[in-house]
Amino acid sequence: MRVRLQGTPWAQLLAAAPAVIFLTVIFGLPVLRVLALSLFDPGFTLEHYRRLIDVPIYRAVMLNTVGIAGEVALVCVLLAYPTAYMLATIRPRLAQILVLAVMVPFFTSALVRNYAWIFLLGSHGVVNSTLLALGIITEPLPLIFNRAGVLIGMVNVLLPYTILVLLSVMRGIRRDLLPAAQSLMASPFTAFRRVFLPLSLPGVGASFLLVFVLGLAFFITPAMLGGPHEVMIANIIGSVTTALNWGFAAALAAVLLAVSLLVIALTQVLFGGVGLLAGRSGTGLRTMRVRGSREGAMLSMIDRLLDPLWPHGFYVIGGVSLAFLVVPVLIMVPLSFSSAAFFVFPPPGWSLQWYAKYLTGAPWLEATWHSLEIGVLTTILALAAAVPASIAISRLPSRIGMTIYLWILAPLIMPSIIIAVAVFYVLGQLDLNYTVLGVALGHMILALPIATVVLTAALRNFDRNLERAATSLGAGPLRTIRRVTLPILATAVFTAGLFAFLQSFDELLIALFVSGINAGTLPKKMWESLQELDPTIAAVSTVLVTFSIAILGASLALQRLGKRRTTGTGELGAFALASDAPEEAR
Amino acid sequence: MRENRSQLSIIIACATVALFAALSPSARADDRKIVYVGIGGPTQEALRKALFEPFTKETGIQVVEDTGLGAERVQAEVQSGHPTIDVMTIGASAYSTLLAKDLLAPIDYKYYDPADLKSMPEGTTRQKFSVGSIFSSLGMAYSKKAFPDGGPQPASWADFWDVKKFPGKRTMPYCGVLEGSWPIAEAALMADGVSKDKLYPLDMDRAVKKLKELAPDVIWWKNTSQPGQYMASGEAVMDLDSVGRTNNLIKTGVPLQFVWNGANIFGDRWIVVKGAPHHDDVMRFLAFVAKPQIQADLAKLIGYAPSNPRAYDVLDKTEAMRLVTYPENVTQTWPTNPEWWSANVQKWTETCLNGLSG
Repeated sequence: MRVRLQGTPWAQLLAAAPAVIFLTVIFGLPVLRVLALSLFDPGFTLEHYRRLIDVPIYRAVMLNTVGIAGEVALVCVLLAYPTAYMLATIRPRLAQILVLAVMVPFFTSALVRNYAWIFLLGSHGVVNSTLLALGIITEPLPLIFNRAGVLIGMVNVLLPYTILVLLSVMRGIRRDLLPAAQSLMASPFTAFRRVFLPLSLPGVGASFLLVFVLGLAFFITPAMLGGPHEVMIANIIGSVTTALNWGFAAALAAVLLAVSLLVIALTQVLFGGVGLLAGRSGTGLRTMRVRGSREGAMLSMIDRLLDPLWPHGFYVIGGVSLAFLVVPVLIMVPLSFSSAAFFVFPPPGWSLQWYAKYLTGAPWLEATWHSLEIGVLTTILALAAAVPASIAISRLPSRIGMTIYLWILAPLIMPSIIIAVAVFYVLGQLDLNYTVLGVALGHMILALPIATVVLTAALRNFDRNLERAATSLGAGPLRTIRRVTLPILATAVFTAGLFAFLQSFDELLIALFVSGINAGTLPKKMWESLQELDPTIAAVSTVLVTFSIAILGASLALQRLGKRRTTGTGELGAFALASDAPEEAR
Repeated sequence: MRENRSQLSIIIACATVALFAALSPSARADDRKIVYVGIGGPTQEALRKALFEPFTKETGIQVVEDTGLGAERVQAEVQSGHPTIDVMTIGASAYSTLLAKDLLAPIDYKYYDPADLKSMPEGTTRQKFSVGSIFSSLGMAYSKKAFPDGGPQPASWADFWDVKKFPGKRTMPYCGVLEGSWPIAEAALMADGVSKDKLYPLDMDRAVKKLKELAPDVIWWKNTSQPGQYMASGEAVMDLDSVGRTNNLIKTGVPLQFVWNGANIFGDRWIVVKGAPHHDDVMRFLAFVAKPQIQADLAKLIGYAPSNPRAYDVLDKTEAMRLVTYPENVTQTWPTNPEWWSANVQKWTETCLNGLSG
C-alpha cells in the first residue's frame, strides 16, 4: 500500500525550484548564449565544428581528456572504497583522527603540490634517489612528465572527494545487516559481498561520477605533471580564448558537454545509483532480493580465497591511501621554511621570510579573508538550495527527478572559462561584479551541483519509514525534515557543505573575472605564481592546512566533551563523519 | 532525538556574519586613480617601484593594481558597457587580437614631453592605439654549474640541440601554450641551419621535425614559473626563457648565462581599454612613464630595455650591457614577426601538437 508522505508532487517541485531557477538565470541562459557562438559567429556557420572534426589533434585531446578523467576516477574509487570502509567500521575515535588526513590535500595549493610531486618523482627526486641508492634500480624511473605523473597528481587531490562521498553513503547502511547475513551461514566476506557491497553501489556510482566530472576540468596539474600525450581540453580551450576565438572555444565546450552526458548516462545504467529512483516499494529503501544460496562454484571459491584477507586487506589499502594523501605535505612544509627564492629540495637554508610575507602582507591577508567570506556565503547559499532540491529529486517520479538532477549537474561539465565569462556578463547586468556577494553567486553555480551529488547519494539509503513514524506521531512535514531527516543525514550534509566551501575556496577562473580588487580571492593571488614563482604560496598552504586541522581537531575535542556531559549524540563537524550513526539507524 | 540548539546558533551566527559582509558596501574611493592590470609577481613589483609610486608621488593619482587574464578580461570589460580597468602592457600578438576586435582606445599624446615625442617616433614606437613600453628578448640560457667557464659552453641553437656535446635535459615551452609568441619554431629552424633573416614565412613541418628530434631530452613547460624553477633545481641544464627572468634568477643566486646569439627582440606595448573610466589620467601616466629617468630606473630593476632612446643618456655602461638594445647584443638578435604569427598561430599550434604527440 502506498502512503504518500507529502501531498502532491507540487511540494517537491517547489522545493527544487530555488536551485533550478538560480541555475537557469545565472548559469543556463548566459552559458547557452556563449555556446550559441559555436554556431552563430555571427551568422550561422558550421566552420567551428568542421575544424574540430577535421583536425585530428582535437579528437586526440578529447580522447585523452576523457581517458585520463576515467582512469583517475577508477583508481580513486578502487582506493577510496577500502579506505571509506575502514573509516566507517573502525573505532570512532581513531576514525575521527584519520579523517583529518583526508582533509589535508584540500587546503594545499595546486601549484605547490605539483612542485612537491616533481621533487618526489623527478629523475633527481626523492623516490628515484632512494631507489638508486638502495641499488633496486640502475636508472631513474620515468614517474613524471607522463601519464603516471598526471594520474598520481590528480588522484592525490580527488581521492578525498571519493572517500568522503563513499563514507557518507556507508554511514547510512544499517550495521545489523551484516551480522544478520552471518547468522544465516554467510562468511564475513560473503556477507560483505552480497549485502553491504550492493547497498553501497549508489555511493560508488556517485563518487565515480563526481571525480570523473571534476577531473575533466583539470588544467594546471596535467600541464605541469604531464607530457605531450596528457594535454587536456581545458588547456586547449585556454589558448583558444586567449586569441578571443569564442566560437571555437564554444564548440569544444559543447562537444565536451555531449561526451560527459554520455558518460553520466552510462554510469546511471551500470550502477543505477546516480542518486535517484526510490524503490517501488514506497519505503524509499532500495530493497533487493538476496538470491538463493546456490551461486556458482567460482564465486564460492573466490569468497573462500578472500575471506582470510577480510577485512584486514581493506585496512591495509586504506592505510596506504591515507599515507599517500599526506605525502606532498611532507615536501611542502620544509619548502615553506626555505631560504631560497625558488623551490629547491632539500632547502639550502632556513628562513621565516615567506611566513612574514604572508602574515604581514596586506594583499595576502585580504585575499585570505575574502576567500573565507565568500566560501562561507557560498556554502550557506548552496546548501539552502541543494538540501530541498535533493530531497525533492529523491521523491519525484524518476523522469522528472532525473531531468532536474542533470540540469543541476550541468555546470560541473562546462569548462570554467566559459562559465566565468558568462557569469561576468550576467552579474554585470545585476551590478554585482567585484563584490563578495557576486563572487559567491558565481561560486554557487559549481557548489550547488557538488552538494547535490553528495546529498542525493546519501538519500538513496534513507529509510522513509522513520519519517512516517514521525508523521504518525503528529509532526508536520517541515518539522519532520528538521528533526528526523536532516539529523540522520548529518554526515552527508556536512560533507556537502564542506565540498561546497572547498569548491569556492579553490575556485580560480570565475574569481579572475568577477572578484576584481575589492573581493580578490586567494586562488587569484596564488595564480600570479604561475607566471613568476613566489614561494610564499608554500607558506600559505602550510598555514591553511595547519589551521583547518586545528579547527577540525578542536571541534572533535568539543564534541567529545559534549558527549560526555549528555546522553544524546550530537553530530557536528568531523565527528559526524566518523562516529557511529544515531541509535535509530542502527 | 535531542535537539541541538548550539548547532543552530552556530549556523545562525555564521549566516549573519556572512550576510553582513556580503551586504556591506565596497569602498568607493573618490580620489583620482587609474587601474592597471598586470601579471603580478616580481615584474609587477618592479613596475610599482619604478613607475607607479613615482607617478603617484608627482601627481597624487593612485595606481590601483589588479591581476588576471589579459585579452579575455579586456573583451569582457569593454563589452559589458562600463569597463572598470584602464591600462595594461601586452605583447604583439595580443595587441593584434585586441585591435582587430576594436577593444582599444586611441592614445592622446598631448601630455608628452616634446623631446620624448621626438625620440619616440610616430609610426613605430608611437602608434594610434598603443605606445611601446619596453623591449625584451627571448632566448637560450644555460646553467653555469653544468657548463662552467673554462669548458665548452653552448653558444647557438645548434648547441642547444647537441645533446652529445652538451648533455642534460632542456626545458622549452610546449606548442601553442602562450599564443605562439615563444620562438620554439624559429629556434628549431635556426638549429637546422636556417639563417635568422630567412626565417619567415616559417617552414612549420621542418620546425616540427627538428623539435621531434630533441623531444626525448625536453621537459616541456606550460606556465612561465616552470623554466626558472627547473633551472634552479637542476632538473634542466638549458632553457628558453626571457632575458628579464633570467637576470632575476641570476640575481637570486642561480648561476645562469643568457646567450644573445639567436635570441629574438620584441616589444611590449601599453594599451588603453576602450571606454576606460579614467581616460585623461591614463594619458598623463603614459607621458610620465616615457620619461628617460623613469625608463632607466625600470631597466635597472628588471632588465627590460627602454623604448625611449633618451634613457640611455641616464644609464651607465654596466647596466646598459645587460639590455637587448645594447649595440653588441642587438646585432645578434632577430625581430619577431607578429603579423605572420597573428595569421598562423592556430595552424602552427595544430601542426606542432599533431607532430609532437604522435
